Amino acid sequence: MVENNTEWLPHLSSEIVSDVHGNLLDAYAVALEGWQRGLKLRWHVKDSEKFREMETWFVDNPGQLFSLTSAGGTHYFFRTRGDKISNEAVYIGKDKNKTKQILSENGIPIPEGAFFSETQSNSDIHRYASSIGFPVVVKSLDGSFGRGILTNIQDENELEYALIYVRGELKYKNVIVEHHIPGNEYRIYVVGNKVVGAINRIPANVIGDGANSIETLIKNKNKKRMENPRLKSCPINITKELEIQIDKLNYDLNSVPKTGEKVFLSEKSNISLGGDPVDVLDDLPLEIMNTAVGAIQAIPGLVHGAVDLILSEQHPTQYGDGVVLEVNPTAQIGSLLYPIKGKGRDIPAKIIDYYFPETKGKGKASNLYFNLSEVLSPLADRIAAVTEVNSVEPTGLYVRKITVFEGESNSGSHYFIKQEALKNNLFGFTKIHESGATEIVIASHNKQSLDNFRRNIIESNSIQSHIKEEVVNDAVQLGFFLDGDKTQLINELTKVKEELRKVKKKKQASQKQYQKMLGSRVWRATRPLRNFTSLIRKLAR
Amino acid sequence: MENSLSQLKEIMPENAYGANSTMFSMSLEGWRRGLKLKFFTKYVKNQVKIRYTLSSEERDITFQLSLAETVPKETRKTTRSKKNTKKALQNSNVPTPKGKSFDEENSDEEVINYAKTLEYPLVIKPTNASLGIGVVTGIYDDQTLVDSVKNLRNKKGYKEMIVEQQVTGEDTRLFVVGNQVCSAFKRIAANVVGDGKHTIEELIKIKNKERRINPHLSKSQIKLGKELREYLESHGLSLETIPQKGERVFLNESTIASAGAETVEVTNELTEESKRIAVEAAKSLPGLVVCGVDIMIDKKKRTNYVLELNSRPNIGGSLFPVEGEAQNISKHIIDYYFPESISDDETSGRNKLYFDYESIEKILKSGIVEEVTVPSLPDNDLVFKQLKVSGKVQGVGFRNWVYKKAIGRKISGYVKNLKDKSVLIVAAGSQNKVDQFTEVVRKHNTKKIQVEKVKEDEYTEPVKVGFEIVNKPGKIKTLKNNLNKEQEKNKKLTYELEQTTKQLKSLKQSKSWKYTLPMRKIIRLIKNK
Repeated sequence: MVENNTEWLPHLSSEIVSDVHGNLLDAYAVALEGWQRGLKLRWHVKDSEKFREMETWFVDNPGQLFSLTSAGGTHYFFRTRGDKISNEAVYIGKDKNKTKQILSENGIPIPEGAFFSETQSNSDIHRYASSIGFPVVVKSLDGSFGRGILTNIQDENELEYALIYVRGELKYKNVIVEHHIPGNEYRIYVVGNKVVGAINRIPANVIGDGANSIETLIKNKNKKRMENPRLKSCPINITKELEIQIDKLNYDLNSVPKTGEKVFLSEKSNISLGGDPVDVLDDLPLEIMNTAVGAIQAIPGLVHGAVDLILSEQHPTQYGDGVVLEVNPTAQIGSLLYPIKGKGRDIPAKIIDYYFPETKGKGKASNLYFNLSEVLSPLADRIAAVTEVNSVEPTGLYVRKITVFEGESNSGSHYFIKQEALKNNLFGFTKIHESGATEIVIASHNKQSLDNFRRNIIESNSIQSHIKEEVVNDAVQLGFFLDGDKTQLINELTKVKEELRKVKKKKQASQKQYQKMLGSRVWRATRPLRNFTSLIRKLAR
Repeated sequence: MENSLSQLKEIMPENAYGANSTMFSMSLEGWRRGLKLKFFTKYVKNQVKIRYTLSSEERDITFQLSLAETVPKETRKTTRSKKNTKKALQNSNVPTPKGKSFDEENSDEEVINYAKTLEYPLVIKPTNASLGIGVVTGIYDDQTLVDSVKNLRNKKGYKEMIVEQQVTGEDTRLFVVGNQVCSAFKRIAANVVGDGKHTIEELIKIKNKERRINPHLSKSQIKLGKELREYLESHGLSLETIPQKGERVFLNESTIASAGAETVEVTNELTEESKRIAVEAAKSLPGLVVCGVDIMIDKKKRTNYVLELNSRPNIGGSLFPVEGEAQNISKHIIDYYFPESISDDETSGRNKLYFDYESIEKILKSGIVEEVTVPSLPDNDLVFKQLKVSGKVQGVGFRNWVYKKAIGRKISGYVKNLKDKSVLIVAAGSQNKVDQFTEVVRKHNTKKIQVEKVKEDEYTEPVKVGFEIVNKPGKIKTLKNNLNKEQEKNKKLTYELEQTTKQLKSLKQSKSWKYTLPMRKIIRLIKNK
């Protein structure tokens, strides 16, 4: 595979975000940035303080609503979206038709198309599609994550199909029908009047090595995706759609593509459907940048957000500056932080610069982070309505590793270490090696406190043995953690139980599939289908 | 004892024992009235301290135990100095023992000569020491006077001291809130009361057990040591003596809590004169609206000498007296600072809710979180229910399911496995939500979980805000064992998963399956589109 020349942001290493799950990544990245700059960070439950007035969704679980405070005041955030973005902008972003209307009024290129409401019939749509010409796209008005979007519809038959599926089965009655524009898909993040990140979204694919089957290549690629904080929750799933797609290329899962051959597994470029994000910020043509900035500025009250656009290969005159598909005020930024190729772009820093310009450039050296689940647990259990993370200095951190050999690692002396650390406002952890040596990693903004601790620990009666001391540059968590203490064990137990649950689920799913396969053969034998085939062959093309 | 106060002891977590019992009871009182409450940490001399803020629409007030930050700094400072307190009291014509303070510039002779002008017995107090450290009482003659002065000033280094007339009576703490005395207790020295059966030693052990569960006294035990034995001996007693039934035996003469002294509520026995003097004493310093006034009350002589003023009084002695009726001082203090929160609505069930102080303190002290806002009390009337659920409900993930259903409806309480294989749920929340919740529990029937019977009852105990799955995490050893077991299970299951996947693959690769692929694809298309 070629995807090894990646460069992620060092202060958002995969270690730091390892316990941040799925959709909490966005909020965590922005919150962490503000906190590291010395801002006061508070996490909120639903409807607390200003969130009562802000447009939010799916916030029953904590971790998506937070506020940052400087001497100048407080700003509230829902995921990546701060309170400088108006609710009106959010409503417009959700309504694809309204978005198109405003963009077109402002001279931003959009695919030619029309909106059809509930009252309009499928034949109205057929007439319209013929008038603009195939291929077309059918989009539900309010679906997200690629739900209810069917692209590259080639003819009347496929359109009928698409309409039955989207309007009938998914019950999205309001749809947009527009030109299908083949080309490269981009997600561009804009803050104010600047493009601060851009990725090319490439549909799920594998690259052949002349030895492995597509199925194995997918498996290997998924393993790689597991190491990516953004992509670990979006593996390439082997679905019926995928099998149909490779069938179009005259392959099946067992085919072995040639070395270097890129096999596309989907037509959709969504990251959540297995797509690859590739950083392209440095090579983005100026026209595209202007289109993206123009799109954000066209929406009233939208001061930062993401623009999805396509650069067409086939319509250079009509769509040469890129055509805008969507504008997202509450955009996910994970793929911009963790591209599969290229550089991670510091979107959180740009957002915080925008809200707190006085903190620009602060806290960059900080390799201190906090355990998100620890901070959120009082909110999750409804013990608290707001928790404020212990504030830190936006200065560099002194980190030392002290290894104590042949030390008596009894819990008493460890408790003493923890007390000393907390007293001096130090962060870090202890780790007991199998050899019996104890490793103490300790960090502080203040060299004096670090020396105090060191003196007290080394000169105390509890540790009188050979020690080694090193200056290290590790990332350190807020708080002080003892190896093998009760909380740690409980956490580990919960983790293992969670894993167990997942494996159980997988096993059940695969057993179910097995049973279904056996069952379907029986079904096939009991029903003659030949008379359908001629009709269906057309539809499945 | 007032109902809410007897419950206070039940719901008070152990980490709120001692001085923090003041913080717990005051913050709870405010929170139950619908005031906003947050706790936060403050580093004072390398130690983590917890402060709290109560807020109404009209005001925010931050407290340090019972002390509001609105009390002027100068006043707080004055109360910490015995010398300056005495001056202020004298200026306001509040009776204090006759005496004078001295500092480094005064010679020993000056101190002694002044002392001789007073009437014996005398007492000498170092000015800047607290908790009775260095205080010498019961000086009856010139020789003891000279020795004590020289010892304190030259050997122990206390150059600043007050020499005063020792006054007689009972050491009484009066709480002044606003312009009123709302509670008082007297301190009596460590003692046991005989039952005609147990020895003094046994009685002390029984007493210490009682003290341990008293939030105010738990941190100080009566010590069985040489001093005690000598004291008993001097009164013709020993540890083996069996006092008669009802006979009170004192174990020392100190009225300091750390020496085993206890509190006896005496609010109803106070004279108007004592009350008036306490109020006057508090008024002698500006802004001292909540004050613990220590007065030596001699009922026979009818004298009231004010000894000390305390701007941050610990109210635990009145909340948890050893004898007498407990007094809810928190109520008076919150009434004073937040008059807008006064209400006589006792019906809403709010007084049965409390918040999770234990967890809040733990997370604040972990150094990760700096401030915690306690969820506001629900606005509507609350119902408290307990559900005993039987059926196939243990070991099937039922408690986790219950947790989700409760949290989603803002229901407080807990769920717990019982020994008889049933599950107990305690639920407190709005009528509507608790009814809904009960209904979904009743109807819950899946392959795994089968609810057969639900026995519904009213729940009368206090309920902690938030919802909890009660399972004792147990000892480290048990935890490690469990971890190993789970990891084993995981390995086994992963192996089984691999086997099924293999089976699945070989089926997919079988000739007949491959042959029918186009057909199946079409069928799926029809089924799905």
